[in-house]
Amino acid sequence: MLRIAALGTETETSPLITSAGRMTGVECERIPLDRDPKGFDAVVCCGLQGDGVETICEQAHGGKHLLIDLAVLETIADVGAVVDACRDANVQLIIAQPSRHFPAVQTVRQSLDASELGAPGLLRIHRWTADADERFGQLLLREIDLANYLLDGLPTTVYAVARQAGGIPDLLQVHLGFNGGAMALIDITVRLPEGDDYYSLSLIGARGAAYADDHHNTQLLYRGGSAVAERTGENVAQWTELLQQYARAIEDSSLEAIGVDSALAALRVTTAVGRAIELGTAMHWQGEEYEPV
Amino acid sequence: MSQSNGDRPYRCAVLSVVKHAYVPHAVAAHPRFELTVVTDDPHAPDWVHERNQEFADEYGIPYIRDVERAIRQHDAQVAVVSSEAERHCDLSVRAANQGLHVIQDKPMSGSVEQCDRVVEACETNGVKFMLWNRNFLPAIIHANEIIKSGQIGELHAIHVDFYFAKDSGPPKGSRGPDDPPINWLERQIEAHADGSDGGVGQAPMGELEIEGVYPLAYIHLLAGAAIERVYARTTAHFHQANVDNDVDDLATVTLEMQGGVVGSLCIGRIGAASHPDIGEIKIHVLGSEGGLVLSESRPEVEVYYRGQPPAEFRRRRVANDNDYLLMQNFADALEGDGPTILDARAGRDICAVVEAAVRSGKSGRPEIVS
Repeated sequence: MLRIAALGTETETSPLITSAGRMTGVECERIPLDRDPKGFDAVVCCGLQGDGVETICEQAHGGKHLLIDLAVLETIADVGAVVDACRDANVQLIIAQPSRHFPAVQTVRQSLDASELGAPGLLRIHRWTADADERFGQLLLREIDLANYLLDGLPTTVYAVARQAGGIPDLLQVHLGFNGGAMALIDITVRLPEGDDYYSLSLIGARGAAYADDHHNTQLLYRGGSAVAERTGENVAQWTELLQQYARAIEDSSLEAIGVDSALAALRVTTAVGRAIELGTAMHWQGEEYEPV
Repeated sequence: MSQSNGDRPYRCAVLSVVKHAYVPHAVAAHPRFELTVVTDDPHAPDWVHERNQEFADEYGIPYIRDVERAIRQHDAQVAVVSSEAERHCDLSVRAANQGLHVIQDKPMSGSVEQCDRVVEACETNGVKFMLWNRNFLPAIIHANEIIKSGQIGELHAIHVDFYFAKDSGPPKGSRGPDDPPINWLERQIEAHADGSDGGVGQAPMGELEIEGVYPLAYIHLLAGAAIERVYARTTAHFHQANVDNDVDDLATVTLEMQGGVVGSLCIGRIGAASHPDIGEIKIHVLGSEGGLVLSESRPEVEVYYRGQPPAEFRRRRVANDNDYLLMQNFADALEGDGPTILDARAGRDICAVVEAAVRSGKSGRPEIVS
């Protein structure tokens, strides 16, 4: 039995605990950040506030294997610190991106892998949420990682624009170019009124296209006045595959860190997004880092 | 200049009709307008004369190979311009200089300078101009009502996806090592049969230039804010004709607008296999109080039956009064002194956005809209 301690808020950890509940040989429990995960074999970091990376490194030093949600990491230096800590402590590290494992995203990825869509040309993502508490950087990191995942690589060009209200960013639009001419446009807002969020992901390939859109998955509820659109959710089991991979890696004792390159790639792009906004120009990949055109 | 025509319909001269003839058909269908003559320049190539003659025969009206004479002889009041794209502005200017109001097919032009000539000619001669558009589709009217009612508050962002799920000749990569590059005009002439000849003309045009006016006209109507700067990515991803002629069939554009409004446009001729109907055409609007997600094709009815041709759209648009409402808008503008829904200056500004986007696609930099 693999005993896993889940770090993060209830919202952050509940999909993980739901997924673990569907597996055999795994037990998962959410614990407060200040509680010592003694008695657990491994720690999954779904979300952390403040001194997040220090907390992660402490877990590694305490001999716990680590599965970290990519969005917990903020900088390239964070990745280096965690990798070093896990290597020094001889524990398994996986940096994961749960959004990759949403059923809709997996369907698109499988369609690409089956060559149904042909060479990808355009990825379009709209990510609108009412969760003003969620860090913009986390949302951005997730969507950038998805772009890299679905378009198979690091973008060669990055451009971005942002809107601010009262000094706080409320809207971000990122425009990416990839080798071979593929492109991505991602817009994110955290300022929807309280209630449902909205997500849409379209991928246009040379031979076909895939449209994963909340707009297509709404049902109508009539209670007088205008009908209400209710979304039928994708029951959240995106952590199941990750937990299986995690359990296998621990069992194999390979101790090879997984997901580090993807994390570094996504963080390089988010750093370039910040620079593009600051400088008002496009950033081009120069082999080591992004530079303004 | 307002103009009352009493109970008589406005006499319209069709100045070249070489594409699928949706514009002059729509003009003819409105009770306030009648087609009286088809005309073109005498030196036009044979295929142009043939199409003009065919259209004139369909309506039982004369075809005259002299534009100025046809306008004089038939006392035309309105010019309907549906020529090859590079002749649009020249024909419009000549018509305006003869005092005719102008309805022009899209694109307005591939050149802002040409559009400026039209703006000047229309303003100097006090005539109305309307660039053909889709702003009276039911969903666009609905979106405009929602936005103008203030239900989503102050506009912050607008995004348009405009994918035409049509093929355009052989797919990219199909050209053999000994095959010559595809000639643009020949391909467009050939495409007349299936209606995919939107870019007909000598000069190759990408999707941004051919169809960009439609989504940009939505943004013009719904946002009402000038586009000041653009950043674009463009590529020929689907069709060999676009590859051979170095024009895009897929493009994405970031729009930086007046008042800090952010926008974007995704446009492509993405191939018939990529959607069961004409294509995924959507509008996303974000305001200070909420958001709006809208499908441009609705309302529609789905029809499926045994033996259905593969190319037939399964979802059929219904309650679409766009053609009638455009012509009603034009009639109202003629008689009420107001602007048309997409006048010469607005068309010129859209052309400038497209031109900047094409430039940005080549330079890799954001570009100022002139």
